[in-house]
Amino acid sequence: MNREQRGNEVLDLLEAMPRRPLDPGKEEDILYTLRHMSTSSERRNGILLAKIVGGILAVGAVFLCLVLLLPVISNTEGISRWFSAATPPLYSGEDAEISPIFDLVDKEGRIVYPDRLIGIKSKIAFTFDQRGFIAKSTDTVSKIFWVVWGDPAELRGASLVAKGTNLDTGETFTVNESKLGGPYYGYDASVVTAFNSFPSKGKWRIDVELNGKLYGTIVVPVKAEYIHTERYRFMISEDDALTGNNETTLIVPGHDQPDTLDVIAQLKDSSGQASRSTFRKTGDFIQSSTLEPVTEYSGTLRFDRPGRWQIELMGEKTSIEVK
Amino acid sequence: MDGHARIEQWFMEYGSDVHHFLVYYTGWDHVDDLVQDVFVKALIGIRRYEGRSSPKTWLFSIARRVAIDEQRKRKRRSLHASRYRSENCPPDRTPEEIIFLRQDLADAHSCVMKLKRSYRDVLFLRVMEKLSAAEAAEVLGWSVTRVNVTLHRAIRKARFVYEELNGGVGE
Repeated sequence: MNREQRGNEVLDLLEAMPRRPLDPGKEEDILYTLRHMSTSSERRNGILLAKIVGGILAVGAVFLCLVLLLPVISNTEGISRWFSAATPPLYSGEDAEISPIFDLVDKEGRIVYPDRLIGIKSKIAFTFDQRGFIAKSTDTVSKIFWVVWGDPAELRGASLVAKGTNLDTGETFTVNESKLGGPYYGYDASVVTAFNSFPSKGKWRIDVELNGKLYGTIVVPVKAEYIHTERYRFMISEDDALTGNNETTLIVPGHDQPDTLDVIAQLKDSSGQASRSTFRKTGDFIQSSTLEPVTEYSGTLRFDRPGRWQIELMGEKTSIEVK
Repeated sequence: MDGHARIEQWFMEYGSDVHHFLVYYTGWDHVDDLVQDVFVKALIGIRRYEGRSSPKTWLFSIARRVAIDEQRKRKRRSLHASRYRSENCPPDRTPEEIIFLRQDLADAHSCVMKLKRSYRDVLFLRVMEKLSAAEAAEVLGWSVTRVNVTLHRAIRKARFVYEELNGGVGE
């Protein structure tokens, strides 16, 4: 090899360095951080604005109601008619089907995470992990990716509003409000966000509007709250408490807690059958959602038979139904 | 589009390019945290961006700064550690170094890493990242002429080092 060729070789090699893209999991984490950062200052302004707008709307609504109700109040027949019109529609959770779960894929269609999305394929979906949603929990809804299929130019910047209806009870709440960002993996638009916690267990229908127009409806299951007493919480939903051993984490508020805690589970029938288990401290943490200090324990809740069980620790009690 | 949506979009478009650049520019295998730093800094400084350059060159200029700062920090840390290390202990290894599957690529990379900072800058930006002279000038805050002259010298020096590494001149 002559001098000139060898000299060029280093440049050729530099040009041929293998591509080193970001790891998809890491990409997700960074997006989450960026999104999380973005909410702190905006949210403060948003809350203030929402308070002002909310106040104006509330005063307006009360005034409007009074004006509309004046003629109705003057005759009783009118009142009964008004009440029948206001009866909420019937909901049947039994009939509604849970939306399909499918893989999250990259631009080339390769699977990044199997069974990670729930929703309508080729339209709109969001990430859903195996733990599922748990009523009143923030940790199961704290990191959600919306992915949307469509015209990226039209979707970018679109405002997304997701409204939830509990199909068993008719209860409603706003699940999420976001603004769509650019493409993500193989999807035309995306946004990483946190949902508000689902207020109750059951089948929830989520109606998703983009720029005020209904874009799709997704039905998700939400499990019962974490098993808890007034101050203590086991990181297991009552729906997941099964006969046998249930390994779980126990969260106790505050630091400087004892190294072990005894938990007594007692069957609530005439037999009075009981089991005692010891939970061991695994560490002191700061809860990310509330910034409160907490102590974590790990241990096993044992239920020998299905039925109603009472759980007692440090003088606090709760009772649950074990399948 | 607001600043956050724009940074999010740029992250989708250029996140992997920034990662690729940082891996080779630092010679470290794990630079995810640095990539995050780049975009967090971009988010904070988005007002300073306004129309100055293309997003890619702007992000690369932040990435280069982040890499240099981190290299200095680690150097200080290792100097500090070596002061307290007993003489019998082996020096800290650098487990983070990029692992190359091909020896020729490893040689070429280590040869570039031996050069001075300005030579490394132009070789990584102009040759590996294939930026134009004007784009590289934007990243580095130099004139285009300075980029061209430095590149010329850097190539000559890189050839020389590579030849030495491969056991002398010609065959």
